[in-house]
Amino acid sequence: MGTFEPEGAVTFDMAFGHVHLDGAPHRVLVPAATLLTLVTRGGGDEELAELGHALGEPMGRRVGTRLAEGIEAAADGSAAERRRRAVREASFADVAGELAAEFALAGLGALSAERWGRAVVWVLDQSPFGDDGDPLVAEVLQAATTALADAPARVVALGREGVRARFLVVSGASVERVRARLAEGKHWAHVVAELHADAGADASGAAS
Amino acid sequence: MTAPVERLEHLLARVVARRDEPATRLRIPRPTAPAAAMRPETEELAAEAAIDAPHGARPGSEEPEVAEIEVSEAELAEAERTEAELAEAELTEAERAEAELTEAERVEVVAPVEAYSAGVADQAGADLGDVAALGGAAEEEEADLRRPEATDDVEIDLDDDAGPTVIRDVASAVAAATGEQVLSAASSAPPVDEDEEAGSGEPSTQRLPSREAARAGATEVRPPSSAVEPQREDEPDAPALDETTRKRPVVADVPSPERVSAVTAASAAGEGGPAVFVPPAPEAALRGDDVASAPTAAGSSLPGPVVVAIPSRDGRAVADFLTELETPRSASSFGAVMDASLEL
Repeated sequence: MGTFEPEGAVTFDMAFGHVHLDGAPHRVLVPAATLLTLVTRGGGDEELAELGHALGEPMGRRVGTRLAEGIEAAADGSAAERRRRAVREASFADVAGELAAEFALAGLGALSAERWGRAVVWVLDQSPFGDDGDPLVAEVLQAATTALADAPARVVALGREGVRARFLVVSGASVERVRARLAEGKHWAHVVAELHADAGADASGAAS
Repeated sequence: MTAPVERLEHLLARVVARRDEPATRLRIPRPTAPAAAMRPETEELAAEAAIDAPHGARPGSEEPEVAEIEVSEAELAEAERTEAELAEAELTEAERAEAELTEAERVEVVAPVEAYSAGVADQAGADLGDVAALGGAAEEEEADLRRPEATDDVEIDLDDDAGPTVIRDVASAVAAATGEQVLSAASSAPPVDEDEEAGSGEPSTQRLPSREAARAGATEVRPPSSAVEPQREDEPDAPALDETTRKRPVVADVPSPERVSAVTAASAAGEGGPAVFVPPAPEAALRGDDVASAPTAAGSSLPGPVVVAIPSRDGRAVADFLTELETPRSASSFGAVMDASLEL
């Protein structure tokens, strides 16, 4: 069950001139275009990944913290293990909704999720960064997904349809394959379908 | 930008007074006006600009009288400066109107998402459009399906291992796509044991009632012979199809009228399957609502309206995903879903 309550999630402390997000201070409202320009000016992927991680990883942790409320303490008593268990056992819908709330609070757009067979596709509508910002969004989603899944996850931008951008969650082994097929001009839906076929072929090959 | 100091002090005093209150509500800028209200304003501005344009006369008006007036260079310079200021002011006004128009259009774009959230199967046309965007040819096939002759008997080939959920989903999608009330196998056929669902693999034929038959209330459904057993009396009846389809957003992939492959949304009852979860907060924000007052689903601060989409133009891939639909329950937790995705 979703636990997100927007009431009080963001606090504008006018006297001190601070913005707090979920109790954490020192948030700054920055024009999206300026931020994107600043990050991409150097053309470095590292800066992009760094910013994406700084935005996405805490999102995943906050979602875990919310979902862990009311969950009994883990055997080892650690908060991290309790978060991990809460997220894994929560329904996919709840986790997707919680992450969407994080995106909305950060002003990153309307996030939703699709399941295409076994594949998970994050869908972002109305990204403030526009299509130029999709690589950054992919980094944010990758960091958030990794934090949520407690496993290395890669996120690849599949493409855009107007204001809707899709991002595929895959393993590291499939990243380059997906990118290569997209670069060939294949429709993203076919790339996802072929990914399933690849997995089936790999499985049968391993069995034989 | 200037503002009276008294006003600022008043505002600041209010803010300070409320500082200790527990929460600050999120305020999202409300779109100033719908697009329909904006466009006339823009046109009006343009008309005014045309009327006030220097050297211009209104179409159809009489030729203005010309009088020679002596003006000094200083007066002429002042007049030119005033004219330039007026033109600049008009330009600024036009830019503002254009910006508002853009904002209004941005909200319009979100309308389909609201449709998803509403969960109304009447939006199947829009959903089918989504599929058409995926497949291209699907759009033509959808049109074929909507033709009167295409709404007569439609045969769906399904493997015997297609369970009642799939059969009902297919029929629901057909109903939504054609606008006809179609009785599905699931509405007349009882749930079956999983062991019996695994059939021989030979395709079976589902015959859906024709338009006339449906109107007359006739039912002609031939579910897979190996997948049907008499309904037990203690089992509740399956929900009426029309209610089901009206509550379920539907995205259907229709490769051809002869071989209809379609899948409906997984319902909130937990039937799983590919899904789109549309949280309310971003939509509410774009509508200009307070996020805190966004509509919510029962028992949750975030609803999860579910829409399904199948990424395929060919029936085989659809069948693969249909198989996935049959085993979603065990993979509905986030951990299981992610594990499956990361195996790809």
